[in-house]
Amino acid sequence: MKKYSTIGELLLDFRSINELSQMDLASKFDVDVRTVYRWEQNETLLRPEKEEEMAEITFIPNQVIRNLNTFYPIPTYYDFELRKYSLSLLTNTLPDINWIKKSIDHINDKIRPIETEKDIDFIIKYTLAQKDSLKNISKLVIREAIRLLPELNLIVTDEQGNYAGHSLYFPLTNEAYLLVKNQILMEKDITLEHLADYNEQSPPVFYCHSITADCNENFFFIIGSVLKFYRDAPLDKNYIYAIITSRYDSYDMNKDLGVRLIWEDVEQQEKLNLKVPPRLYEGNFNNFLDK
Amino acid sequence: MKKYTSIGELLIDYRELNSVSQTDLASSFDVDIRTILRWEKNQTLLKSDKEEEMVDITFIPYQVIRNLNAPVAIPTYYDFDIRKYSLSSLTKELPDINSIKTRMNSIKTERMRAIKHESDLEEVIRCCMVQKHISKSINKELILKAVDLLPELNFILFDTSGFYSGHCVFLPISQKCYQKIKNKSITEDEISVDQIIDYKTEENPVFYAYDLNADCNENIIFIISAVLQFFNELPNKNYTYASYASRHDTFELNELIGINLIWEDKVLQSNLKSKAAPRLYEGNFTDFLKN
Repeated sequence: MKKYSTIGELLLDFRSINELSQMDLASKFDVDVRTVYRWEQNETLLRPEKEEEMAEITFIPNQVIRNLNTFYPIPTYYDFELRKYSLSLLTNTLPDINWIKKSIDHINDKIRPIETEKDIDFIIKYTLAQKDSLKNISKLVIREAIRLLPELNLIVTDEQGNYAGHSLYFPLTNEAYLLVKNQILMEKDITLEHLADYNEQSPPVFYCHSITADCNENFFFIIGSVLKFYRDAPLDKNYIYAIITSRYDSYDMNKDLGVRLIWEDVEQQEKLNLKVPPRLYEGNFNNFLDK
Repeated sequence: MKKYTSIGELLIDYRELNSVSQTDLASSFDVDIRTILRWEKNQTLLKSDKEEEMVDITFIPYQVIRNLNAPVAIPTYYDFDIRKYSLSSLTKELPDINSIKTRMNSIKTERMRAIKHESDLEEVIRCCMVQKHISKSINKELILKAVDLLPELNFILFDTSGFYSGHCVFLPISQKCYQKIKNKSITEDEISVDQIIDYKTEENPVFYAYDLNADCNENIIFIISAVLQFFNELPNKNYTYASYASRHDTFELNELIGINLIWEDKVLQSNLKSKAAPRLYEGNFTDFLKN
């Protein structure tokens, strides 16, 4: 994660990561190009009324913008790739999974099922920001997965009620999962025919498309809700959990959860210029949850 | 903790809790009383250069003011009694002490240093006085002598913008002096400079925790880690830890850490109308640190 101390620095990085010109950004904000220039040079700040617009245009969490868009900024860590911020060095790494387990029943009203088209748009926006073009972005498939498995297809909202993260799962047929595992079927090519009601599969396959949040507190809620499902739902305990991820910050967590690394794709890593290779994990959480 | 969703609500509570009138506040800010009225009714926001001033005047952490003094506020939890904020319902309670213990040696920050300046002492004393049971704070000379003899446990913490955010003050005293506090023949504000001892030459030193405080969980973690590290490395394990406090959120923490409640003052509690009784704890962290 990078520590940002000014709004100008943040805007400059946003533009260069997304390959936008100052002109492009000016037209998105509907301002003169000189205004964008002055923002980037920290000569002027965005008017507070523009902050919401900036969150919408850039997909940067409002908390980051609020902390930096002032002459007396609160330095804040942010990672564009993960869409995660942190207010302290301590929370730059993911939270301790054992602590989450212990507090799994912590009441929270910030989690709800993925429902609206707008929810799905946020998830796709997040997925596209990840630079990992291996992910499935078919709305048809996503909608069907949500219908089949509402328990694990969740949105976490921040204190303002805005999108702050999600968990998206595909209940795959056994055949489809084997194809993915053997790298015959790419995740992005998954179609409706590969999905099924998990109760009718033996064993059920819970294939995680993505699980993410904009800060550790929200990670806590989303991971906690998912683990709660695995703990409490009347499930065939031989279920398979699987995920293909290219996050660089989840190695420790996967280790602690006791899921196995099946393969990693170094070729794709080079091709897509990723920090770490896309990799498949498989396992289930029985041991972890019983401990 | 209370969830605040506007700057007006925060200002109204500040005035009420400190028995400050709108006229008083107007004169502190050097503005017209109608301005205060408009702020409290959320008709106008504070100009951003007034935010720093508001930190000085109200002693509310800058992050809280930044989040609320916005056209679209970021709701934030705050407790005036313990001067602590939280950005999520998750961190309203104190952090998990066992998680801190396992990580304590890797938790460090450059934002912490020994107390030394006059301005440090003023911030520390201002924060101590937030607590209702402290009617008269101990004097500055006492703190300075404690810093001199025990710099590891007498420090101040700043947030990433450089504002004061917490502190830790421990007085090294003799068993004899501590017994007087324990059987209530003296109160802690009667401890005199010559009762501060060199703990290294004492067989059974007492580390009297005069006050520990931080404005959010992340900063509390830094303070607790520093304290645990000190006791973990202390060669003489025949020490006594003691503290007299009235925080309403430390009951569970103290139990987990294995220290004992010696007495609590219910009469004082009802006189002060405080949420929890002022109480004396005593113990030693050796067992807790061993497990």
